[in-house]
Amino acid sequence: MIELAAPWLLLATPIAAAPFVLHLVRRRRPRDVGWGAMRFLAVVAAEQRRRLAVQERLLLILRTAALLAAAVAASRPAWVERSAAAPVLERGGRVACVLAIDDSAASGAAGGDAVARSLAAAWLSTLRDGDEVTVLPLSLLTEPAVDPLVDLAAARSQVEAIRPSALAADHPALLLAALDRLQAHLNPHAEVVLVASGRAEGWRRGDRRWDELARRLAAPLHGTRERPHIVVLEPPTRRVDDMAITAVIPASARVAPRTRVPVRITVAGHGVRRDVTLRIALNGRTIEELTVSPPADGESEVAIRLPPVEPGDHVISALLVDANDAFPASDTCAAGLVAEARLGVLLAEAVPGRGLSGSLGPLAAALDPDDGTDPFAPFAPRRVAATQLLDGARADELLNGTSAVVLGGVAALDAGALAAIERFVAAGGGLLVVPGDGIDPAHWATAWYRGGDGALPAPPGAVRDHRPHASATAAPGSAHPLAEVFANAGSDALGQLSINRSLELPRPGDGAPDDASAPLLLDDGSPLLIERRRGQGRAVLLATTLDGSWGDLPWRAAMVPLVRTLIGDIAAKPSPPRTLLPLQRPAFPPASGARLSGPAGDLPVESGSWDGRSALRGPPLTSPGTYTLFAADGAVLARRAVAVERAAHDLTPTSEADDAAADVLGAWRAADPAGAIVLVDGGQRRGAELWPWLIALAVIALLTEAYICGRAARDEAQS
Amino acid sequence: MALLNWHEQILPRLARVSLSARLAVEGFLAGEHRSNRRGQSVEFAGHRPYLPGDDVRRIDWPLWARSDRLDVRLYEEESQLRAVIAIDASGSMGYGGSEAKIDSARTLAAGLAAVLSRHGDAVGLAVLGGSLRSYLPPSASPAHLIAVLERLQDLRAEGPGGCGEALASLAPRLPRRGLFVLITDACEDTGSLLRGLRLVCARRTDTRLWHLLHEDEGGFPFAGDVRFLGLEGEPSLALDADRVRPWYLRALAAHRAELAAGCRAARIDLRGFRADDDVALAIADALR
Repeated sequence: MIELAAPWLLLATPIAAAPFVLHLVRRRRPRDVGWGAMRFLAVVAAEQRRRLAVQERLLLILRTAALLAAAVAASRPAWVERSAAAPVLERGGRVACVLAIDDSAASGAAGGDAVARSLAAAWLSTLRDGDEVTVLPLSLLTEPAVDPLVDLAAARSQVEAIRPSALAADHPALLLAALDRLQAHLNPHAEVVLVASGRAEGWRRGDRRWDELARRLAAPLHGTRERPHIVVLEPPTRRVDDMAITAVIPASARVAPRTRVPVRITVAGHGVRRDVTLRIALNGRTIEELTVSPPADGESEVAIRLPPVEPGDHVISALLVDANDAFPASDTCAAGLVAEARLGVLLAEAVPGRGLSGSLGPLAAALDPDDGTDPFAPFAPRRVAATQLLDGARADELLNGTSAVVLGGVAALDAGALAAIERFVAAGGGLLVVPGDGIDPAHWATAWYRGGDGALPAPPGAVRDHRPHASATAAPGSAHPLAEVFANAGSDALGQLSINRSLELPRPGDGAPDDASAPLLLDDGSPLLIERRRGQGRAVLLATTLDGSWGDLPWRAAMVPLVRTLIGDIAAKPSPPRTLLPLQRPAFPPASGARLSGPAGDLPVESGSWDGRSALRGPPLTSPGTYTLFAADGAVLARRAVAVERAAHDLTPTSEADDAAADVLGAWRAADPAGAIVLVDGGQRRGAELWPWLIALAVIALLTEAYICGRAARDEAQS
Repeated sequence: MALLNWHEQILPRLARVSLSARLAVEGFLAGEHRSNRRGQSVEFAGHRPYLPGDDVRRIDWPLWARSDRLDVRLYEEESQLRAVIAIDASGSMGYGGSEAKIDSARTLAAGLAAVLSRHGDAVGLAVLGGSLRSYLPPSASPAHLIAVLERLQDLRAEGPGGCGEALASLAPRLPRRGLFVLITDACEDTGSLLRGLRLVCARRTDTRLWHLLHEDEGGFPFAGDVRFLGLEGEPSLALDADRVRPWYLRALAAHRAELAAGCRAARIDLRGFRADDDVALAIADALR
């Protein structure tokens, strides 16, 4: 059969009708003339009219053939031979077949999904009544197992309904799941048919799951069940040129409202380089269009700033408008973010002050330089004297409406106030404890840490002086936002610190709980701060003061990013991710009568939980794009984005080496010399490319047309 | 036989046929034509007005003395030329609109008839078209000329063509050793037409073929898609005139060449006319 590398270009074939249309348009209604000398015309008509008609039709056919051949050639047809390989299997009885179909994103490149469907359908056609089938696309691996089908027509319908997902191909996962599904079959002749997409990515060379597969295939058999035949139907594919958006990354997934969020968009070219239009939209509304020209085999990055965003969920989507390549799914990408209202931060100071004075004056200035006059500032600090935390009731009153509390140099707290703060943290609030000159570390360890049950993340040690002064650094390998900020800053902001005194903090697992983390370290390796989750909130203990008495941190460049990132991180309540990976289930705030709409239509939602809290959950999302949760009245409640997995952008065709996948399949063969594993070499062989012949045909047709026209013109001139 | 009164009887009728015919005859009346068919006879046939160039010895002086009219005497022997004018009235002769070939043929025939009759010759008229439609045997009487002119006046181009068959019917009825003039567009089979003319020639007649074509037929000035509707009932032909023109002209030239060769072989005087030719000059040229 004939396969088209760019079938959408067949849309150009109607242009072949142009000669006919022109012929009809130019065909005038003939003028009637009464004529006497008809006998001379009759002689002409008998001889010439036939000749003219033949010539005219021949020219029409030649012109149409030339255009048609050129249009079809543009779709790059090739002759392929397809084999369902059924004859190579000796089926001794009723068949139990699991069709494991790779419906990864890359399967949609160059019409590969249609080829995969036809291969699966071809295999189904070899089955007979009474045989069992399970159709298992990659995108449904996480779905509960269903009973095998004995209705082959229903199985065929399932195959026809399969469309490319946002997933990266994963053949070992597919095969393992297929072996699991095979357990539900009853027929003795077991077949696992892997319909691959022909891309190398899915074979996951070196993946340990291949060992698990080999072990399971070599396991002893029980009962009458035969060892399963493994059939790989993999269409040979060609490398296709592609332009793709590989990433849309906002600077932060959680931002303050009305801030202009920087967004980085990565556009990649695979085998092709040209200018394309990049359209960027926020919540479906285009906000910017740019022309980008990524290198032929590389990436280029585009940086923009979003317009100020209102509180709520937002989805940034990017689209290559005129990529027109063989892999349309890679031409778009999306990411979500949430804009939250100003975070209230309560600053309780042992030494109250105004401006930069006081225990936390520099901190208040770093969080809100405009001292409350900027309505769009992300933080709303409120300074109080620590003495105002008189008791639990007063503390609750002060903590109401805040997201984080900072204790600056507070030596001791009323028991009721301390309990209120602990409740506040357990409910999701953030706590930052900053030392000061009057503190008693032993009291903190006793009353605030309480062997790990209190709010303090770690038991503090003694206050020590640094001679010479200490600097700080980001902890290597830490995934904490603080470590990322200073690791990516490109400057040694922490190294410029000069800290002359600090509270000695234990390292996680070495005096501090194992679940604590120390993203920033002093240059002697001890933590500059230590963080620990307490309930649904987090508590952080800093080793130095923020008033400049123990070092120059407040006056250094590291101050603002440090405290803003730290407070922003601990103050924000955990919320479900806005950008999801394929197969992840979205979580939304509870809402009654809500409706989830995605790229492929509406999806069911159900009540569930997320991170221990009640939430509305959707199904695993497989299609890339934007998903919107609507309220019963049609208002938008939340948005989520699903992008094609980055690995799915690899369109490298399966090579001979991968076919030997190669090692694993070879190992299977060795383990099962009886030949239970059948490698259908290609399943489909791509033969000769036809487009050069079509181009040649078009050229011959045009040359013939030119010759005929020239000869007719000569005849006319001569006569 | 009443004397022929040209100015009072013939010219008004000619005018009804064609102004050109009238002008042609008036030209002859002015004495441009010199008959080479005079003879001597004792049988008086009538008078005709004297024209400059006539032999003054033939003037009827007694008549001049009686009536002050200067006429010459005509004798029977001078009227022995019996001419038959045959007109092809097939549908194809109707081509040309206001300059239809049939009108030109009618004018030519009327002029020729008038000229011949003016010189005392007997004139007959045959109307052809697929078959012999009508035939007026030649006569020199003025009343007969009037009948000829009236027949010409009523002539319509219609019906199928084919003078050859009609000539086969007409030939036995023609006077021997006379003058036979066929005015046709010859849009028919050349062989059939020549066979008919050879039958006429067999009567030892002085046979002349006046081949009348319209300007369009000679040049084929059409362009684009044209549907040609046959005037003689042929099926219509939708053709690209630009492409067909060279082939048509080639076929027409071959036809004319074949006709000329046939006429030359049969000693038939062939003259070509165009529908818009000046009739007086055409007749003078043809009779020279």
